[in-house]
Amino acid sequence: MAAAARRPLRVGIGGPVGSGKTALVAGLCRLLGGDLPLVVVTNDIFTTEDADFLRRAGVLSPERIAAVQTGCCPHTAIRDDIVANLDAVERLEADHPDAAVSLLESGGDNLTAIFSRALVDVQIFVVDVAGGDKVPRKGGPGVTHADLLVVNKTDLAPLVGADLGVMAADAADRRQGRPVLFTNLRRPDGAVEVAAWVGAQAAAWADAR
Amino acid sequence: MLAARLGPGAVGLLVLADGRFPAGTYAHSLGLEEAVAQGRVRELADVTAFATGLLHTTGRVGAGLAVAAWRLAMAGADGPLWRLLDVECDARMPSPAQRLTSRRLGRQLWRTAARLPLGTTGRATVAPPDRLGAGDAGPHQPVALGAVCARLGGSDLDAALLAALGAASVVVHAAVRLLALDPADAAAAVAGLGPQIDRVAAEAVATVAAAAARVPAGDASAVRAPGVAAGLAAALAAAPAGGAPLLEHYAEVHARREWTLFAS
Repeated sequence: MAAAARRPLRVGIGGPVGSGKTALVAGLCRLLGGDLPLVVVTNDIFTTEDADFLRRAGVLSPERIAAVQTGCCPHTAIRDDIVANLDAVERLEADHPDAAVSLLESGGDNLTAIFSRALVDVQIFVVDVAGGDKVPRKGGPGVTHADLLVVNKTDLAPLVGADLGVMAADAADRRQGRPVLFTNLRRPDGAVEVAAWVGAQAAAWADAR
Repeated sequence: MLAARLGPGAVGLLVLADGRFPAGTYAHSLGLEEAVAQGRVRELADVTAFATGLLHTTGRVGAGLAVAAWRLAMAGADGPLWRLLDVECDARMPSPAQRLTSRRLGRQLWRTAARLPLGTTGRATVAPPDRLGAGDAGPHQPVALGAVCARLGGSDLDAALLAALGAASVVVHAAVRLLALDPADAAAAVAGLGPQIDRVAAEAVATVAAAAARVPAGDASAVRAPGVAAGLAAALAAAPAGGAPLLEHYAEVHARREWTLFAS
């Protein structure tokens, strides 16, 4: 623990394809980057696309972002064989000793994906309303065990016939009290609550040093 | 039969050979993704041909370097000899992209394998090879593999065999995902390469052993003696050095592509 506490807090961000993981990372960089120096590792089945998105968005300088390819196996890279991600995040942290938080974005995957505890300290699972309001009820390790569940694209609920109340109730049932946040990450301030949660986690991590 | 051949203490090596051993190889295709992108590999027969070509070129080189690393580990070699081996590796990999891949895989292998318990007849390296290399540091993959085999109590032939089998297996299993091959066909293809893998591994051992014939392997006390060090250095220099320009081309083009699924 003592050795681990000397490094930044590592936050995993997982979830299905298109749910808003990269938008969340961009939002967190924008909202947190001023106070908490960040580094970001992205995993994408199409490699550097996410990293390029973040660079283009201008939310983080390019040398603070690393892309890791996963050979068509995004869940393997965060759960079963994490060495490439560990290698990448350790190198970024060594190059940027000021970093307080390291964000690791998984490639889009299914509901069974979860980060190894050896790779991240806390993890966020991002699902979206457009995927159907049954997603929280279906459960899976991501929905049930992530330290924070984010339900994104709340603006689409009326368009896809999704009941946010049902999603909130099912999520509360599946997650036994672990936190859930509803977001619309297309709004400029869409990630404010998630940023506050990450900020609190980082403060607790720093206090444990 | 396997257990009788392997004898006690082989489980560590079997764990190392297991496809689920977490060393990050699943994300690599060793040039196959680029060969597929260029339309040169389309079906199972092409994959087998690609793997055969790789085995007899970079596969042979990797097996020889793994044997050389095993010899250094067993002899209790110190820093200068490991650095010399590192240079010999670089000299056999003219493609910067291939060097990067080799060091990345070596770093990842060492990271996991260094945590395995020392084999009953194993030999821990005196000078850990994990800090080798300038810039993008870490041991080349064959260096890590040879050192790990020594650590687990394996032989020089084990190191060569795992190097050659590992390369063939990475290529064929990447093909399963790139070409949607029948996984049973893939398993059969790797097993079918067995005789060639055996031959490449045996030749790698013989080549290095011939050059190192004067060196008393396993004599840690003698490694600093000029004659012994010179013998080991000769063994390193004698490792196979064949090249595969098309694989180098694939590696360099792949490294510059925007849309790739695999890290090599």
